[in-house]
Amino acid sequence: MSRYTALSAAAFAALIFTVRPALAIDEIYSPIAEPGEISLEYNGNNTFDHHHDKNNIAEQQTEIEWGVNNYWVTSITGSYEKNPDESWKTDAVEWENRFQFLPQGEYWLDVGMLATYVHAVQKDDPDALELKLLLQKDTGRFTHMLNVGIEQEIGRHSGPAPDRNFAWSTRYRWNEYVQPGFEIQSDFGTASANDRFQNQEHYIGPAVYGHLLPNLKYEAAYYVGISDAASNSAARVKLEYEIHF
Amino acid sequence: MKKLAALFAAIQLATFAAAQAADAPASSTNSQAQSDYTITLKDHVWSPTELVVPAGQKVKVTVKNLGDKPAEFESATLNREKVVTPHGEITVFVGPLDAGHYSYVNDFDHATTGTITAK
Repeated sequence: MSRYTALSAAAFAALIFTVRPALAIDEIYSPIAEPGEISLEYNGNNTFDHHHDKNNIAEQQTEIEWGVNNYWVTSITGSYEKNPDESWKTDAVEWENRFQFLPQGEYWLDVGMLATYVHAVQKDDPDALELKLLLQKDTGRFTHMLNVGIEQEIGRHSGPAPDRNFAWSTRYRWNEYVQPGFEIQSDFGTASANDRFQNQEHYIGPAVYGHLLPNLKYEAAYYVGISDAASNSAARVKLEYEIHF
Repeated sequence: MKKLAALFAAIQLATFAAAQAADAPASSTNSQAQSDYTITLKDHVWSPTELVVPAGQKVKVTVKNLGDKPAEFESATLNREKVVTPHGEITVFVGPLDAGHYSYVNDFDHATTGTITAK
């Protein structure tokens, strides 16, 4: 094991156990597949608010992802969540499939799709199916990504209408280690309710992306809630350790 | 569960078909807008070390790995990261680029660096 690999693994493990992660906030997906790569990922997010019922809502995910070929990446994710006054609990096991439709950069826009089956672990929680349209565009040294998704609960205890979400990120590709940018994350709620802006969760804030070590990528974002339903602020962290074979 | 499996199978079949279509030769419109370049990797050296391409124009770069070990063409400033198998090649579309220098590296051997310069 090289020094870099050992350091990367140690940093990944340390951050998994020290950083706590929020529910309306998700990682923002690129449509680009990286074939021949296995990655170990940690995603965490957390809300902060003066109101007790919107403070310290958190989610953590650990994931193993495999780039099957140029157009398909599949992964298994374990998801854990915590609501105010509750302890951490195992929330779901997710099977994600990310599809890249076009060779990167050949056309004006890179297009892909994410299809996720969410198997609830808690007895009374419904399973869910999530679909996201993934778009990416490079302009100069900027990369812009847009995710538009719907999530429909299925099976027992499921809701009648899908939840709708939206995420945008723009980053400046300054160098390998530091790429500053910003993100917008929105949860519009279900189509049948929460139709007013203030009743939906909307966040915006700065973000930074890059490599901590050659095989260890990071993403970090801090958001300000801009609607009544959103928490005052929230934070998101992602770590990705890449293994090639 | 069977319905779910069928749905996923259909999605995967559809995306595979879309991917195959995307692999087909580019349309005449795209071809006219692109120029073709080649970078080779041999004995831990990219050749050419500096590839000059026109600024403001999309270019197609074929990356050939002439060595016996896998390599990964990676550039943070170009936002490209792709594995090249031993004696294999990949195609990378970049640009239109602003004038400037864009470094890249073999991610499996960080001492092996190169530059694409847009003029």
